[in-house]
Amino acid sequence: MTDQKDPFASLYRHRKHRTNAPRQSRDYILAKAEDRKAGARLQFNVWNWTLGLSLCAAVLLLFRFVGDYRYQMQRPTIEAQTVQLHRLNQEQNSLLASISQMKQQTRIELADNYARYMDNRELLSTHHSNYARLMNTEDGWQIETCEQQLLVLTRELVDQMQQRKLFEQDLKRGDQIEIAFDQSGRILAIKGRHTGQSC
Amino acid sequence: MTLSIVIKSIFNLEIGNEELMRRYVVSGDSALLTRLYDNCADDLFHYLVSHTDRELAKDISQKAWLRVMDKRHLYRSDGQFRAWLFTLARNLMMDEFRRLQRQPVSEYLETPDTQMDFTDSDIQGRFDQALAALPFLQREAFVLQQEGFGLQDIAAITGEPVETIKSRIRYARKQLRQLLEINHD
Repeated sequence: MTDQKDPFASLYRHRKHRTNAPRQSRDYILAKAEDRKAGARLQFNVWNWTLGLSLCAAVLLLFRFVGDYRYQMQRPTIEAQTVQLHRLNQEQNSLLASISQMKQQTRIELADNYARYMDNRELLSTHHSNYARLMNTEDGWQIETCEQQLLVLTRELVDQMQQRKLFEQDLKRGDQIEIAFDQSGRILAIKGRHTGQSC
Repeated sequence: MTLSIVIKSIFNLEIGNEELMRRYVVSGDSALLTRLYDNCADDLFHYLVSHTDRELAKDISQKAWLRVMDKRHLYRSDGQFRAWLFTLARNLMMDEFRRLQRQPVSEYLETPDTQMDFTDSDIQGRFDQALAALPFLQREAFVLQQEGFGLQDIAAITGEPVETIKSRIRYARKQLRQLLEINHD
């Protein structure tokens, strides 16, 4: 509406020009706006954190649920919880027979080993024997080998070997003897040598 | 001309109040509110001070702007921002009148005192006195029309039918002419 059509427009405009909003109102409003924006930002941050934590918790719960579900699906179903033994007596008999069989087998193995041992012993006595002369029979034996080595057997050893019948009983001082050794050099037997040359 | 429009649009020199308000609704940026305030605060304050005293106008103006901040999500982007702002302010003013038990008098019952002493020889002073002498509702319709609002907008702000607004404006102008003794050809 132009001034020519409206005679009050110019007067109104001049009146309005003299009336301005107070400056302190502007400062007050803008300060309020800043405060509310800061408050809104704080609320937004709190909301964001809350939302973020909730989402993390939800994802973790979801993973756990899915994991449990998959575990349940993969685990074989146990249909029977009780095992019943219907042939206990028979099983015991079978066990005893098995033990007896094992004992028999062990016995056979021992006999075999003993026979093998005796064969080896005979073989050793054949191949590891020395000729010697019995020098003294009092308070232990002194034996002089043909290689001029003096072998001394204590009284206790002589007694034990006599108990085990490893000596001939009628050996006396000055007799020519034959000594059988094992691989370790232990005396297996001493017997008189009545034929052949002396040392 | 085209170049100046392009440059202005680049630097956002001529963003309307509605666009500013739309952006403020989204961002809550106080810089946008500052621009809105600078664009509209004087108009609003003058409207209020034309209907009440200066202190009350100042209080109502502040409350109206605070309400703009609080209720910005209620702003309808297809409407004129100034009309929305004036509506908020008018509602606050009516609430204050109710609280102070100061009822605006009905337009047709209240007639200006034609015997008022318009001693001010200046036409501007006489206009101010004549405007203040108008009945509240006629003065309101007249002021809103002078603020550039159309009849539909004034009807929306005041909550009255358009025909009523037309009548108020017609009476207001007639009485102003009488009071100012303007020869209307």
